[in-house]
Amino acid sequence: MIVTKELNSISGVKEVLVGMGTDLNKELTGNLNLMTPEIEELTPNDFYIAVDTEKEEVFEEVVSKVDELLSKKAESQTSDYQPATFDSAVDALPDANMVVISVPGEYAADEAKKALNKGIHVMLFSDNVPIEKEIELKKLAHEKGLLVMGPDCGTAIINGVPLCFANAVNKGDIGIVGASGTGIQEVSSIIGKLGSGITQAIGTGGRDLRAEVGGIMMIDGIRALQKDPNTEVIVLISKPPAKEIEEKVLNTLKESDKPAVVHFIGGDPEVAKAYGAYAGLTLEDTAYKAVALSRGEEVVDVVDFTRDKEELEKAAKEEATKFSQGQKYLRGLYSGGTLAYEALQILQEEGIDGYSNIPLKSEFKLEDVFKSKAHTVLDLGEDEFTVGKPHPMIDPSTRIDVILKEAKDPEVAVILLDFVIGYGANRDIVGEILPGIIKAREYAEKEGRHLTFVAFVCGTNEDPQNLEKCEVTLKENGVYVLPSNAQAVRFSEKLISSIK
Amino acid sequence: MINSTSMSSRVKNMIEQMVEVNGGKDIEGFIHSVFDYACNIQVSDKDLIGLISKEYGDNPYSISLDLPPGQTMKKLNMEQGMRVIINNKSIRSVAGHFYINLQGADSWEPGLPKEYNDLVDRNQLQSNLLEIMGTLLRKGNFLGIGPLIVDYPPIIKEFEINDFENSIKVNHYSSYISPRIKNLLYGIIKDDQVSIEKILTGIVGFGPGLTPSADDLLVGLLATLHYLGQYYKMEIKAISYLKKSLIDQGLTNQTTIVSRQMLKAAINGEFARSIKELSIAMIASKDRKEIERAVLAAINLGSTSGTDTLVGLLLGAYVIKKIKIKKEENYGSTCGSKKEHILRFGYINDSNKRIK
Amino acid sequence: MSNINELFGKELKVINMGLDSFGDDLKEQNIKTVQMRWRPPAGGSKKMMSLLSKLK
Repeated sequence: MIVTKELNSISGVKEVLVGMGTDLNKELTGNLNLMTPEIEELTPNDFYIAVDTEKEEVFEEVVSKVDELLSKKAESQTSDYQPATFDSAVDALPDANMVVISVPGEYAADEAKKALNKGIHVMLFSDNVPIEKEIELKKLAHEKGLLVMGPDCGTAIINGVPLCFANAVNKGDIGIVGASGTGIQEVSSIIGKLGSGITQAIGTGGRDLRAEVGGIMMIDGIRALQKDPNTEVIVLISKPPAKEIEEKVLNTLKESDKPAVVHFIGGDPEVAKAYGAYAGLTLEDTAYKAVALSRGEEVVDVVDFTRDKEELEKAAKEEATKFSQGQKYLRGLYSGGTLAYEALQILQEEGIDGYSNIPLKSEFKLEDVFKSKAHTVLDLGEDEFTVGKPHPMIDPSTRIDVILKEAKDPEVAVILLDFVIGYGANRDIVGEILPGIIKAREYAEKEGRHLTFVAFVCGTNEDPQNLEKCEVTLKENGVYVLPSNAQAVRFSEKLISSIK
Repeated sequence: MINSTSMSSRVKNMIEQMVEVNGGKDIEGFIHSVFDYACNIQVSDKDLIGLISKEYGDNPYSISLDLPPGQTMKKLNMEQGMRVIINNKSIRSVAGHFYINLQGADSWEPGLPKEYNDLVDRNQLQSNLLEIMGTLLRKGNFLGIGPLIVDYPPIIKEFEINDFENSIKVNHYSSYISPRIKNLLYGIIKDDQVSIEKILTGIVGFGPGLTPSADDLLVGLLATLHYLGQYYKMEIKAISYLKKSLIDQGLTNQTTIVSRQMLKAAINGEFARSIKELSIAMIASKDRKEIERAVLAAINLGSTSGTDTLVGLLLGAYVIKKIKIKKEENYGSTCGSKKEHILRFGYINDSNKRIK
Repeated sequence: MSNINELFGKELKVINMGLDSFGDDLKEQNIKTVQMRWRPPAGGSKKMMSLLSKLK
């Protein structure tokens, strides 16, 4: 409460005591020969200052200094005011219209409910929210005409503002609703890279299209985009929903004339077409189709390299000659779950079944996720890899460990990596992983093997990390950099299939 | 309207019980004392409820408030003697000067946990104490009586800390009280009820701050006596001796009203939230970072209060260790002579002469 | 018009409850943001502390 050091440093002060008028404090005062009759009279709840000085003014100065120190509020950890309750937060920002919640799942739903009851939209980043709570929240939000993005929603862009893990994408006329965070990031970033832009990217959380939840947020999101005068094209991204939900969602799309691109990741493209929507074949293809619709251009399937096709094919063949006997496998080490899943999809289309911790077929599930087998694609954001650590988009240490481990496997030829940049992500993810790549390559070379790295960067030039800078750094360090996940997977497949 | 962020279950229960006794009707109290960021409301002859800005941490006897920047109790027009109405939902002035919303405040338990899932082993406990000491020496505010810790070479040695900061300088307060604290520790180790009481007379209420430093130190001492007592499943007789002196003999009357409440709570094993969390971390955590964070949170209590409390906590750990050694030795020969203890503690000053 | 459409036309103002970094990102972009000092209602338990440490 009282800092004597600051008082002792006032010039002219020989001794100073400040405290409450307890007997013992008075005793000390007496020992220092500062006792006065007034101090004798004090009770323990009186506050006093005793100063040994020759000048009256010095005493005044001490008193005013003490006053100043006493009225200074305890310093909180940051300089900004940080309210502790939701009510106080609303008092501090009375017209708040969005609450981003990332507190532990067991508390998150209650906090979200408080926000909805105040008429505020919610982005619920937290996971481990029970599904019953999710249903309750979404029903409440629907009644009130509010957004509940999540739980477990990692990505949204509202009014041009990236929330949590999201990229800085220019404004445009494409509106996105998605149940997959990295799916939204890849589609919105590619739209941005192509020079187009978006209105909104609404995340729904991965469970929204389950039968129990009924796609409440997906449907409310679609309707909002339909009514939004700035949105001309609607993009929908999700894993294949429950059958009855799929019907509900696709019927909702028919409620307006706005064209829609639907990408059910790993689902049958014919389903969307049957409802008059365009089917996105990959995340990249989805973005290309949305951009074509937005520009009034012809909509075509984009399922190949989009530039330097011949050179890439030639490079793959040349690169494949560098591998030693026995090097034949691909290892995809992903930080983005949906991107890993898409990689497995594309490989399967090319006739390769990848082992994984999130396999397409149960027989390709890795018994031990730390022991890759044949062609393997890992989602390093899954719980088994993140125990006690931040997500691999933030903390690259686990991924570096796995890269080094794969480099020691004599059967590995190609390592495929995603680099997700943007807000929320590590501000120097490329710089932090690069030493791991270089070390892995050196290790393989020492053993007489050549190791090829293939990568793509999900993000835009407007992101704090800058897309182009990331791509250039990787290329300068001998990494093959492709413009999308789909193309990076296809290039990797070309490398593998070129091995004699 | 001011929102409260949290209140201890003790305060919550007290309000609930008083309302219930009053037939479910609101109860009345009056403002006993007002400071910028704290005030005390007297609700009965013996009981006070504190209101305090949340930056000062949660206390067993108070309600923490979310005061916006620039707001103070005085600006809320709180005045000494002002009548207030209290119920389970709010505290407001009769004349309508202020309204404090109690709904939505978290209730937290200030008392000792009944059981622990997982306590650390002895080696881990020792390294936790080391971590507490190291962090305290690096980050503490040693302008209260904290510097007295450097007068305890056996403790410094005990924790194998050699590189503590030279910047910890003794001051009037610390050098004056240091010998008395030594004697208190000695009395506790000896289980000497008479001398404990005599020595406490020369300690309670001493030092700077609204809660005088020496009282903060006693609270820290009590925290380890309680928590390490639980850890070793040992009955610590000293707690009841301290209770006899401080409460039954009324020694807390020689200190401030805020301090009195704090000591009363500490005797019963109730501590400020940050002290409780640190104490639990001390006996149950294997995570250095967790300990360090808990120490930093505790240091942030008041300006010197946190540091003074933590010094008491470390002294308490040392005392418990000596009591344990003594007990174990007593099973064998009758060791633990006075001479040995004097040697262990260094020179014991006969400061009792100076006490009136 | 639903409240969602109303939101689309307005300046985004955010209350961030939880991870500070999300709030810092918004402040960096000059979005009006209030960072809450949220703590779990439990208090004093080891479980609570381990939850807190996970967040940081």
